[in-house]
Amino acid sequence: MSAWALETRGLCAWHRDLQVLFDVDIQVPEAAVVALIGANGAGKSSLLDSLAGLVRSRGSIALGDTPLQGLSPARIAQLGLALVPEGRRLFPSLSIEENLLIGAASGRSGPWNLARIYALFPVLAEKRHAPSHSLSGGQQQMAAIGRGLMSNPRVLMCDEISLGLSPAVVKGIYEQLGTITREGTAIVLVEQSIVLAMQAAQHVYCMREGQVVLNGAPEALTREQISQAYFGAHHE
Amino acid sequence: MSDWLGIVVQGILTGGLYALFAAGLSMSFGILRIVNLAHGDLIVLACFVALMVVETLGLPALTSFIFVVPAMFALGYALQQGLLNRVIGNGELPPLLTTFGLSIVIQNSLLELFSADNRKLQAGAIEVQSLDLLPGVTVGWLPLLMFLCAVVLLALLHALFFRTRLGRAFRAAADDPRTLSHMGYEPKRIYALAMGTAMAVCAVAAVFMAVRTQFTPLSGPARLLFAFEAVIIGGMGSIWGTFLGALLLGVAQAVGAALDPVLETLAGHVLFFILLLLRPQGLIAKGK
Repeated sequence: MSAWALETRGLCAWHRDLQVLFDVDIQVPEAAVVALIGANGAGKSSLLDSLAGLVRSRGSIALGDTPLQGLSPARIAQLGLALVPEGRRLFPSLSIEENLLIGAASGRSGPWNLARIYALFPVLAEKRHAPSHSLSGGQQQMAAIGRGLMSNPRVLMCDEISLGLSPAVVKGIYEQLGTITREGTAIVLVEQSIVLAMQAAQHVYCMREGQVVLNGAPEALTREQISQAYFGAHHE
Repeated sequence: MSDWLGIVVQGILTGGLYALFAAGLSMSFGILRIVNLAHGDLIVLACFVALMVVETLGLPALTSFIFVVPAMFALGYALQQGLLNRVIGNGELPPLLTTFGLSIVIQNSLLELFSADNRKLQAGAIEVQSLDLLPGVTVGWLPLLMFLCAVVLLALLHALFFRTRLGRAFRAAADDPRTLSHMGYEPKRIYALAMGTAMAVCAVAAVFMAVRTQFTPLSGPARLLFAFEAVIIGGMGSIWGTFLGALLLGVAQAVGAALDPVLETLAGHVLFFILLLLRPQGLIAKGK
């Protein structure tokens, strides 16, 4: 039985003919927060796309003991790997509650249901019948996370959840990550803000040019190491 | 005065049939985001399926629904899975050309199999029975039945879209199929179910059409035009907008025919043209 909730070995990926990932190995422990950091274009979102089955890839991807390589995005979601995409991408024709309900399509059992999502983000209960576009950016992000959780995933992948949000809203969302992991769901976080990533994660992978160039527990990584990994050279 | 009231009522009842024509096309626009140029020919194909069912099994015409509706659902599902899913997502032109080609294939296949003779299903006494709806306003039972069926069917479609899991998936697939796939749905399967549903609605329209008027393998394009006009008048992708558009088209044609029989079709086209100029988004634009 695998020790990891999610694991990749030698993962390579391509956007059309352009290779965007090179032999990426990551391990995500059960019920932990793992952050992917790196500059723009480092390959963080491409890694999430590969895991979600959206781009052509080679290598091994396993969700627990289940290999995901070659499966459709829908099948991957059914098996318990959920994606909160960059930009939230709520369905504009659906109300907030309908957006949440559609997240439960896989029928996986677990702790997350409408009542639990509303307890996690109470503002969504107040706006349950509102169209998604009428919500603020932060509320939309909460709905997108809630929609992902409704599938009771083993691993929840969040792409840039702080992007474009006020610090107060980001703080509120990050405070709930602990609640999510306590229920047994691991989180893979793509985050531009190093400070946020280091605070939230138990393990950090730093990417550059489609490769993992540094990884470790946040407390074990020095500022200089991260700076060097980010930019590929010594920076003050 | 009651003459004109009668004409408007007749137009509304005819609009019920147009609403059935248009509902499937509206689903193609609204969910699959394709302009199905074969829509009218698929309706005519369903007419011939009904004809074969009636002639082979000896059933009363209006009970052929039992066979025609599931047959057309299966055909729509297979058509989407086997053909249209391969051409959607790469711009508007490939599905347009594909359905145009499909239209030609259906017309010529039907001509080969059934010749260009006029056909009609006989439904018996209901075709000529009528009732006095209001003083001076008499309506036929068949048009009334068609209209009531249209209302019930559109109400069921509305309930399907807004009260069921599948309906949520239809609307989400129209919004963002890629994100829908992250929810565990296969968008192309949802599209196939949507096309199957659209064709099932077409089957109902086809049986009524086959009972009400004569049809040939070349009757499809006119039905496509009526359906298209109803959808555009009402608002693309809106069920009740399509219904309203179909009723207005029916009334315009009835009024035109009352003024001069040669104006029947033209009056509908003129209404369509005027509304397209004044309100191109349709009377009930689908909210985003």
